[in-house]
Amino acid sequence: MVPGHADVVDVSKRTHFSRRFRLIYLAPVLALLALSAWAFASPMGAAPDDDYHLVSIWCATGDDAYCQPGSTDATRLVPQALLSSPCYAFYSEESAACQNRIDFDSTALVESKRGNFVGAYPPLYYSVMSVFVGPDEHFSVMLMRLFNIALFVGITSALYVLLPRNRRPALVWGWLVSTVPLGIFLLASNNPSGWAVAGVGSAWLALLSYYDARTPATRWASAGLVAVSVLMAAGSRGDAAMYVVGALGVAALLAFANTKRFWLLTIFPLAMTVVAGAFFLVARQTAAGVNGFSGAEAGPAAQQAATAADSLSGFGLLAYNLLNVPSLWIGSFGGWALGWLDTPIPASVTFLALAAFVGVGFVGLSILNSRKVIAVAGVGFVLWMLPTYVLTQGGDKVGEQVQPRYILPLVVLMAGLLVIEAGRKKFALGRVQTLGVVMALIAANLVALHMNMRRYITGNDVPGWNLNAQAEWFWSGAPAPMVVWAIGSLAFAGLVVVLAREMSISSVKVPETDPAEELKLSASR
Amino acid sequence: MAPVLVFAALAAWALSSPVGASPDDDFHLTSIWCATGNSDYCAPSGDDGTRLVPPAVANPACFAYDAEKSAGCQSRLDFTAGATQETGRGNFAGGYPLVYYGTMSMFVGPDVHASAFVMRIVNIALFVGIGVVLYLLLPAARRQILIWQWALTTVPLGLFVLASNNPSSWAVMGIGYGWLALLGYYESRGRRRIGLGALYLLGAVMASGSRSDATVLFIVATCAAVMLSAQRSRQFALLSLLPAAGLAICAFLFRASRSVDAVAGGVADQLGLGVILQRIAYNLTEVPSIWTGIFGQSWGLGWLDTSMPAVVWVSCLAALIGAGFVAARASSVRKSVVVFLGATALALIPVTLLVLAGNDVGDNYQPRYLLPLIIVFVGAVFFTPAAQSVRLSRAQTWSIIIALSIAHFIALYLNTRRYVTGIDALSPDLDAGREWWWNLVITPNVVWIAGSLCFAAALAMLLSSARMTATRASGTQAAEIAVPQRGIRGL
Repeated sequence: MVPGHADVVDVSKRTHFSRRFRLIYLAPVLALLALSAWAFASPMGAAPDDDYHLVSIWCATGDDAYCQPGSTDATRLVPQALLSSPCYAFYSEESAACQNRIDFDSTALVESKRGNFVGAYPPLYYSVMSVFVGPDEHFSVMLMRLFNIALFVGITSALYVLLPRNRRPALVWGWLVSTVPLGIFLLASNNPSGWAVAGVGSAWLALLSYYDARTPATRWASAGLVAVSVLMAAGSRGDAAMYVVGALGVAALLAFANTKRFWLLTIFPLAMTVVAGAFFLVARQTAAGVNGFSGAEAGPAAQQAATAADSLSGFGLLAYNLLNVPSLWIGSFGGWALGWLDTPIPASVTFLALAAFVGVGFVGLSILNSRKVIAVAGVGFVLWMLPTYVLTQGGDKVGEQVQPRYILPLVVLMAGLLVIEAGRKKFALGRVQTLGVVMALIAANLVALHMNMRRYITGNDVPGWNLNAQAEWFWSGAPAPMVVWAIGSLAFAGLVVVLAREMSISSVKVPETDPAEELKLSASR
Repeated sequence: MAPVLVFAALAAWALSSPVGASPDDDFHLTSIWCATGNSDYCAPSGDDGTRLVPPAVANPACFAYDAEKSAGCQSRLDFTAGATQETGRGNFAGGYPLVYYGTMSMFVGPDVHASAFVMRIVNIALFVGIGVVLYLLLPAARRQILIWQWALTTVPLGLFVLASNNPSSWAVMGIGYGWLALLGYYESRGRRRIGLGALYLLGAVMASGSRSDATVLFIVATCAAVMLSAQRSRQFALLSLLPAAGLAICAFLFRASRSVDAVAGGVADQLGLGVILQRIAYNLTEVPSIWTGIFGQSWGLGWLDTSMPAVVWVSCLAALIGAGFVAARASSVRKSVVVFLGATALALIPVTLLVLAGNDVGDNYQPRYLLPLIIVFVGAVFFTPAAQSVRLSRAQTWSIIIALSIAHFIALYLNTRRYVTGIDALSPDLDAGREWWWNLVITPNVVWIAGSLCFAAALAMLLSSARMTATRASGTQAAEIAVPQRGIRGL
């Protein structure tokens, strides 16, 4: 980057800004719509372990009407409806209509130990979500989802504005190619994994923006985003606290310069690291490193483990896990079922989403410098070795205990990292390449959203494309299922098209500032 | 040097699996033995639907479908016995074309082990031999297609099939080489053109002489080559007599094998349109599983019983998508049309056959049937329109080489492991406690390590040279091309 030149681009952008409307301004709205469709696509309790998480949120209110102390320290008295809302879990053919049998109006409380009572999870996510708790559970749940969506879109839009032009492809492509379908499902859910993904995926880019900033305002705004995203990651899951520290490290590595200024600037991320470390220590989920991620989530996981009773040990187990960990990565693209691992995703979604990720990432491999190589290799190593270690340590096989959503934050980080520009080369996709990625993502989201809705509306035993027909369940007050599906798919399609168009336009403009060309020009003069 | 390494790597695959290891080998071996016309090998049984063949030919696959059962069960078979066992599994009614069986029957001898192994080596030699000749004859700019299309699609299923006794190996070779020979035939002159034309016809005979469904795929592949080279000229029309001859060969061999009923044999009762549409939709959403099956995802090798760990299929698939995505950048309207039609064919051919037969993805239609067309598709993606080139960076090329080598290393180990002891004993030492192996001095460990090293070395040589020829072939134009491509605007 030649200093000064980027400024010129900025100014021209600003004049654009004031003169005319550009399609990119629609992107946040489209993103909100697309994610909201996913929020409406699944019923209360649909994300994995939501009974546990909802109870934890309700108990974080400190309101006696919602949660009272139990007979022991490890239990509480909580509304029965929260516990039994995932009545359909594990039965793909059972629609969410089973919730009709639950009395959502009852004020009676029952004793349960399914909740964050012994401090297995960091408390922040639950406290923030508890703001939205009200007498109508469904309404509260939907409010929380919409808030999570708005938070994510807000952070990402702010980052887009703050980041210099040459960093934007990492933001845009990084999120687009790593979140269909699992990421988008989680971002629009009540699960703390949504925050973990959003926090880790945003923190490193926010920190880069903080280092790159040319004006105090940009720096302060970026610092604010770093703080928010670190709190989101570390405040939602113990493992994400660990990841977000790694993500900050990646950004620091990319921005490193052995100058006094750099070291002074680094005091702030170091402080955020301490904050994340504190959350990490508070959450007893850290036991994960020693005896698997099971912790409080033993309920469904144990059930799963029982089915794969195959016993392996020693070298065989280590080799099996080492060789099969890639299946966890593919889980982000639908290789694993969504929800309570009971919403199977067709092979076409997995194939298309994976193809988009690999294609974009592979082009990114042609833009390397030594720092990027180290960062990519480091994240890759963690992606491979962490699940292998945790699984083997706990005596488990791939398929048990560790789920793709636990490592999804790292997959998102990896996607952005592969795209990030290093050295003098620019990241740009060709016309056919862009078209390919755009079509793949649109098709994957379209099919995945349909499958996800089908599973809850009628259960997977009813075939057919029309989601309205024979619907057994849907949100009351929401538009018809087909409308939600159409709006969600179209909004997502529009979003991808707008962003891809913006990326290819800006990649055309970039050569203007290419130092190599400038050298050539001055030489010819 | 590279051909020797490829040969050695394939030979390691030939050794890694016992007689009868590839799908339906009892059927195919019996057919080969009976194609000899020698009553020592295949005697009439008195019944039209059965023959008497050596027991090791009639029922070699005692291990099939049980991955924990090693090929040690073959020790109960007498591999030198005469034609004593009656079997109904063979090409007696003429469902399969005869060329493959006829050719292979030349290598039948009294020892079933030796005969089967020689046939595998012959197939490998054919693959390597045609490959070398084609490489030398093709115009320099097209050689990279040859290398990429094979390297990216053959781990692990392709290698397993090529080094087997299964007619699918000829289908893969015939189509994979045939279409490229035709492409080169249009673009070269003189003796080279004659040579390439001959290779194309050889491909037609091999493809349609091995499997009847390969005939259909060969025609599709021919269309791809013709579309990529078509010109409005008298010369082109004259040259196109060759593909016409190729199609005639296909038609003749297809008729000769009477296999229409084999393709559409399972047509179910008339179903309602709604049900059929649902079936089509379902199969369309699942059809990529057949594509990724060539890398071992959810489809095992052998009798579909040798499953591959995620690392194998993820590495191979990522290598293919990554390289293909870079190659897709070199585009023209014509190439885009061919690639689009190719993708459509890859989706619709399996879906149509499955829906007609009343099946869903996962039943009956196996990835190896589609493999030849996938190879052609990848080749078409690497086709470079005039003055464009496919250029991979060094980091990209080496990531592919490493990914494929690791996948090959693990796939060869698992395939050997599955037959040596069964998949239940997972130690890195293949020699320990082995229950089956060829009557040879070299041990499974040696074969595995040497085969993997040869494969890795061959990849390193071929792919890095393909990367360089691409740069050299485009030469001076490379710099000019890079600039306009940046100028691509919008979508």
